[in-house]
Amino acid sequence: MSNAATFFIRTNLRAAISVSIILLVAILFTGFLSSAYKRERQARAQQHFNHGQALTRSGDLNGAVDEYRKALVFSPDDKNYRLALATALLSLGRLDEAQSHLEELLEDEPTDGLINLMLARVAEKRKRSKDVVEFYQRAVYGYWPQDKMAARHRARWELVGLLEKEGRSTELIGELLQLYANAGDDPNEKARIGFLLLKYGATSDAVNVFRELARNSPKYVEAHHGLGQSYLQSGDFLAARREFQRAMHLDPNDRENVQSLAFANAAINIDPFMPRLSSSDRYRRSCALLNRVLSHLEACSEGKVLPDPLKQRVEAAQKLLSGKPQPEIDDANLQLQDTAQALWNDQDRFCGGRSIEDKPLDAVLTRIGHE
Amino acid sequence: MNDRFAHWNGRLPHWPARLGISETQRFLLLALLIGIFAGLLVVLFHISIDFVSWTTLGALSGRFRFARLLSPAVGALGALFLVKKIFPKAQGSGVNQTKAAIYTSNGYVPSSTIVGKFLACALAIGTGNSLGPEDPSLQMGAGVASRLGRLFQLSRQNMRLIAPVGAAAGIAAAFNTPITGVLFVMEEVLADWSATTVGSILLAAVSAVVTMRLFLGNEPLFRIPAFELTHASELLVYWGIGVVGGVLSASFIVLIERSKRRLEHLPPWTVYILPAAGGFLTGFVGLWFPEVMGAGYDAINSALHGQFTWQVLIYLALAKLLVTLLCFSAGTPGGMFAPALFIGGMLGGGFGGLAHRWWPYPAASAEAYMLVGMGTFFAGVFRAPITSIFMVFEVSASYVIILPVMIANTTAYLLSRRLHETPFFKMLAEIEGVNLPSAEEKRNFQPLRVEDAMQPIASPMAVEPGMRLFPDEPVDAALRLLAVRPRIQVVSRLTSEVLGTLTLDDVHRAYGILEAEKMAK
Repeated sequence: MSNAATFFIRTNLRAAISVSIILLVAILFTGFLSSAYKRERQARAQQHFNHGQALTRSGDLNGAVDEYRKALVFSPDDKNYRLALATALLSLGRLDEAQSHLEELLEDEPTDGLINLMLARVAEKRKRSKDVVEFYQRAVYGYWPQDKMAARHRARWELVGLLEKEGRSTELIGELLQLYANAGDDPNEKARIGFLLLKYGATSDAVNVFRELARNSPKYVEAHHGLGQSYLQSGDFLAARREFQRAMHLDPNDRENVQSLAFANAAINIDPFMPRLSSSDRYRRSCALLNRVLSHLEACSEGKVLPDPLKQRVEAAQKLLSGKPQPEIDDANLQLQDTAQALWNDQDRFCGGRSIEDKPLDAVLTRIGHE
Repeated sequence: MNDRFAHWNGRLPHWPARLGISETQRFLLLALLIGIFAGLLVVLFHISIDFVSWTTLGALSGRFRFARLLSPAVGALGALFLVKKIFPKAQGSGVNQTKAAIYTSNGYVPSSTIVGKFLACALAIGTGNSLGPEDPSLQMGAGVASRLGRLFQLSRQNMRLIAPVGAAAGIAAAFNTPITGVLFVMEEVLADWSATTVGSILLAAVSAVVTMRLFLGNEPLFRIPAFELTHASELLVYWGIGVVGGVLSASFIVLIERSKRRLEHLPPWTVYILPAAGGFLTGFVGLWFPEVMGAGYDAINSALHGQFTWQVLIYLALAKLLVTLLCFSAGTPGGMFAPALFIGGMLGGGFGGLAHRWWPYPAASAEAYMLVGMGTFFAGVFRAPITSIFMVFEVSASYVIILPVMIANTTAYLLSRRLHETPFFKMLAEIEGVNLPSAEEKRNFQPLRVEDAMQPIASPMAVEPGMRLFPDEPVDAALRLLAVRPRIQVVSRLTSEVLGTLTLDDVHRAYGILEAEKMAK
């Protein structure tokens, strides 16, 4: 080996060894320093976060936002800090910034229930109804680290509130049925679901809800009241009266029950379809219904000129009433009821809104319409 | 000791060769090592800046608001004392110092530069002077590479290559973006795209970023919200951002140049006064806009999350422009990359916020425009359009952003070049009295090709056996052949037909030598 080559190898070997030692020392030193640095950052972040929490509790949300921001500067990866900041920003109405932080969190955890729920609230405040429902649904089916069922349940209730506000009854009924399916043993919650179902026209579902509730909690007044209302809405006035009476028995001072019972009785008294009525009674009741409708129409059209088709229909009704009574013929009975129902609808259109003073008549005619 | 090495050498004769390591592979291994060292250095640099910042801005300003006034001034004074009295070689722009090392001193970067830059810049940036850590990191990386190159006794040619390798590692670790680091060095420092260079630079950049992430975590430089192009008409807004970025970046270069040249003529005793005054004014502005102090990455992150309104974003951009101008012109050690990103980002965000509000078509939120804005100012000031495009792309990890970024950055780049021809680093080098080739000049330089010098033939000619040239080959290559043969045929690559002939006179004519001689006679 030449001297030059030996020198080269020797120098390089020496350099390699020196560099290896320096590298090892540098790695150890940097490792020590960087772990101390990370600890310090975390400690500072935690300090700001705790301060922010304290300010949030004391109601100083602006101060809390500043502290959460500082916490994030030291620990930008911390989900809790970012979430706390987004929550505070949302409370302050700073939607842009809150949304930005939440979207960043969502990027890391797209199935997180809480993040989706908060984004739904942001979207709700921004009136982005399409996004709201999507985020709420993601929240409902998303991941919740603690108390999964309760959190999902709460999120679904928020969604129901939104759908109710927007009047989206079909989706609302679907969500309510889901809520009922996952409802626990709380009768108040079940009653709330039942009344909402009733309010948005899912009468048969409401009947089922209240029937089960009344069976499981027979001494729960709301169950009987709700069931009574459901029966009333479905046209089963006798069953409604029975349930209102049960409710009255449990709580005689409930004014709403007294009114509902009176309503049911009033409907029973004019309903031509009540069981055990003779043909002549049934005919008489049908005539009374038509008369009542005509008098309502007359009252609301006072001083107005009736349009020709309506005028003709009124004349036909009056002719029907003044004709020879034919209680034994079912067709005549049906004709009276149909005319009453048709005129009731005309009165609704002509007078602009149904007469609220005559709810029993409305209930009976609606039932006749369904029949 | 020598005996021990002799013993080892006897057992391991020609150890690199015996391990099957060629010169190129040895160079690549060294690049890897440089990357690790540069990564470690950047980690320590980062920690030091934060430590200084916590100690001065964090603790002091928390209790005593007016400490913010003094902190940058004291920091600038200390940093300047370090570079003037203890580490004089650590003065000046990191990019230019690295380029000077490549072009004038065979890749030699003094080791004292590493320590000097480290201490001075950590002090200056940590105390709140409006400067960035990337340019010093670049120079420190080059310094580490140069030291290792000398230790391993690299050849002169490899020593010239090793400094950019370290520079790429340094800037890649500082930005936490390997591609940007590589591209910037290739585009601005080296202006060379040969395979060997790319390979080693890439390796060093990646190993530096991996090392940095190993110690500081995978935290990105910016936490970018999802980018979306809401409507095609938004491209017009992006073009507008490019125009504003281009005009402002050219104006910024002009302002820096003028202020630097004016300050040059001041008496020598002002050398310490100026940075202190710059720091003081930075602190003064920081009383109202604390976001402009230091590198400003935290403020960019906050802005990216919609913390500021568009008006505040524009105020911040202008305030940062002012304080950066003050600090940089005063000669406070530190880099310009972070402030450029800050100014561009805030400006883009402000402009975007305005568009979001008033644009007749749907427009994205201000944050999307911030990203694009960052690139425009960077492209306009540093005249590195490719780096600026890839930097935004790498930072945002969004394919959708490419088109707006290309439109805005290219506009800013072309406009800035039109308004002020001299690039930023070239201008700085001129002020520092060094004549360095700018990357733009190197890119624009077109070598003469054989087709430029050859004499086309009048009638078809048979191909002669032996040497021949192709029209697209450089004249340099032809000269080597002309040394052994007076006339060489130029042959088409497609049809192998003779297109013309080339003689030494033809080459002289192409270079204008014959005309020059005639005129001289």
